[in-house]
Amino acid sequence: MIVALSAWGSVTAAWVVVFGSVGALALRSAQRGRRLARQVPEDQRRWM
Amino acid sequence: MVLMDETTASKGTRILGVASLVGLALLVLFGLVVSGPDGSSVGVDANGAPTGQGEVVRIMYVHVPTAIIAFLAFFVTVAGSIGYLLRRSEWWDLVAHASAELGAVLLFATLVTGALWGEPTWGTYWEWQDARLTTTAVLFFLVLGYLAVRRLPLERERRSRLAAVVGILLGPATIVCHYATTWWRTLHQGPTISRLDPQIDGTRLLSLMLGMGVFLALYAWLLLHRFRVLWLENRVEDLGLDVALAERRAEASAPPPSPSGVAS
Repeated sequence: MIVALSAWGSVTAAWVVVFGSVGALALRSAQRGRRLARQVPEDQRRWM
Repeated sequence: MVLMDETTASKGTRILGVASLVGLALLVLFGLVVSGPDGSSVGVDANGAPTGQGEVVRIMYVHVPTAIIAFLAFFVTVAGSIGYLLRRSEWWDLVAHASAELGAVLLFATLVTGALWGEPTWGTYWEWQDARLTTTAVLFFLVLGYLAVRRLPLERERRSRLAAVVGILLGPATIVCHYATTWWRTLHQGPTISRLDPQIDGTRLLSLMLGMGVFLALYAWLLLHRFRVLWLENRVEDLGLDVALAERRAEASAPPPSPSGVAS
């Protein structure tokens, strides 16, 4: 079934998809980075 | 509370993150509020009055930047892949990997926003006979293939070498995708801003340029974080190997069990 959105519906969906996907990646990276950083000695985290 | 040294953040990434969020707020303001609907870009109607895309033009402020920054991400992956093959350096390998991940997410957003823009503009979400759409889909599947190679259960150096070879293929695929609207007749419009006389102006051009800046900052910010996460993954893998090796050595140097099987 093809669903036609209203103009603002399309705009909202597009912006939500973009910032939702980028935000999800940022959140996942932050969580994974935090978990991994605890397992690695401080001298091997060169950005500190 | 999470300690500052237990994350992938640094002073530089925090500054970049704040700048990205401020830019994002400005993009929302300009893209959704300040800039008006498009009333003239399509042409003229039967009565000679100019017609435009209306409100859906606002999709352009996220669709075009995600596409261009995805292309940039793939060129960084190509550079990282070549750098790895020449120098065998973990740094180049991780840059290539991190950039491909970001490019995949941005290109996914490009495909979805393009479909959402296509329906009200062309009357269809997708058209396989359109060269730009099809080459973008091919590019997306190619980068998914690259990321699948990165997960192959191989020895790290071999996996990186194989991924670098696949990563280089992203270069020609990106070039073909970029020039698809120039080389072939497509439903997708041709270049809008990558020429000396941009086809839009005023607050629409400003919003689009703001979008470019915001997504470039987001890309740089996330690239640093993804790089560090991948770096940590390698270190954890190395530590696991070190522990396993130490256990094997301890087993090998331990005295053999007594023949009766009973400890004296």
